[in-house]
Amino acid sequence: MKAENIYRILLRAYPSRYRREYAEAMVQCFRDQLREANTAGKLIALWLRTIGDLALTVPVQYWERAGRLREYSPAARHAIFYAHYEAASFNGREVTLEHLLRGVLREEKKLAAGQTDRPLRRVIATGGFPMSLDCKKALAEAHQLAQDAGSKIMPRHILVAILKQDSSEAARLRQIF
Amino acid sequence: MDALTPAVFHILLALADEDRHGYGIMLEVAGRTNQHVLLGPGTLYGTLKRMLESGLIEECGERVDPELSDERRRYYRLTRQGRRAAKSEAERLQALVRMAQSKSLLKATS
Repeated sequence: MKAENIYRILLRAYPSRYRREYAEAMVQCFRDQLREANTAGKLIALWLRTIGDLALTVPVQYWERAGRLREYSPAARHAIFYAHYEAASFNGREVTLEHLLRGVLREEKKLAAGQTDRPLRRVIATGGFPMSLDCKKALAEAHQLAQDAGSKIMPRHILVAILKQDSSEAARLRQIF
Repeated sequence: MDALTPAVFHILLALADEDRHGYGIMLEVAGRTNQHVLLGPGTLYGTLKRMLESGLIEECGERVDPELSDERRRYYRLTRQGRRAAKSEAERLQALVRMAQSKSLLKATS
């Protein structure tokens, strides 16, 4: 079996969301390192370093995931889930700012609550989608707003953060909103 | 301000002069530390994720690095906050070095 494939299997130890976001880039890095490891000694050293790296960082990712979930209020977690649902409804491959906004509005009952099975099944089957760059920035800002307010992340923090984003999509959403 | 972890500070330094992709950061850190600091992909991307979340760095798109292969790679750059954090960590370390010099543990450099 190719070394790269073995590494891919080992990456399954990470939480699924982290894997979706970073596994390909990590495989790319590992492939680059393999190219440099042109002797048996270097190859063994690379594998030893790689196993050590995995053993140290897999538990950290689970620990951080648990910590991150605790930072979101239940309503904000629902909003994020609805954002994934919206992405699935529009056959998206990632959660965009608009999906996130619709997720918040749906949680705040400003959008009809009706849900159909198909997108729901897609969210469950895929385990959710990666977040777009703008979404990640908005959630980081929501985190900051919540921290400044000394509270958990609430849907209103996400809403304000979405509308504050400096992107053409955010500008379009500001006009609609 | 709290001290930055070594991995965070090394990544901030690697990005201080130019935008780099993950493997580019690995090479820069390894090169500048004479291979003493070898960041594995798990450490690198776990740290990049935390730095993105705390606003120290940001992604700046994907492109090909012609020196490596024709694969597209995700590039990262420092934010203003990241540059400030790197500067303040460097000043903190400089103050420690001065202290070590004043205690004759290190020779003072002119």
